[in-house]
Amino acid sequence: MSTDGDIAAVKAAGFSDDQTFELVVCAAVGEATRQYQSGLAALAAAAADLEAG
Amino acid sequence: MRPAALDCDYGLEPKVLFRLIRVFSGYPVPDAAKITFYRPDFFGAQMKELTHEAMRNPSAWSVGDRELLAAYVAKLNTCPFCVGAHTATASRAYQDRERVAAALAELEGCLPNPEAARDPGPGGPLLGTFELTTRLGSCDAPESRGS
Repeated sequence: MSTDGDIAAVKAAGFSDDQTFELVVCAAVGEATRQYQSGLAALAAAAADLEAG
Repeated sequence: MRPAALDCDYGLEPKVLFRLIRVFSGYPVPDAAKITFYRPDFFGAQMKELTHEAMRNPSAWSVGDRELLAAYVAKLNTCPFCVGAHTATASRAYQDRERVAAALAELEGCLPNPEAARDPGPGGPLLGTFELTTRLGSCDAPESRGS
């Protein structure tokens, strides 16, 4: 999650609004991808457990 | 804190659309929806396409199942707007607001349960697994398998 502190730090470092937007989008897509891959792996593991059980 | 550009830097077409939504609904366009119109070539256009494919295209999971999953993940991501939107859509899809609310409440802190996967109703499709994977960050962690 991006916090107000993160945004403030980015602005203080001199990044523009557009650059900040791009950073936040990239962070969100990265986190979403991580959750998606974890979910798929967990589903595969649960399906294997069901078949085994 | 939002970059100021996200509140005002839109083309004429989105601005007219925002105005119409406000007039007819009585509410401003939510920030989460508004952002998809900001530099759509960078984010919004692809995001809308991906969201539609995941949430509305043919799937083994019903629209209600997917909206309920989304509501639950939004809860874990502490996004009140997304919780409200996906809960409302799941309730409409299932035509059962009470059952959706009960399913979400019941999933608080639950563990992966293979029996739950066999339940075709709200809460059935492995939501507990999703909770743990998002909390733990990796399905390789032993806790995520309930062992």
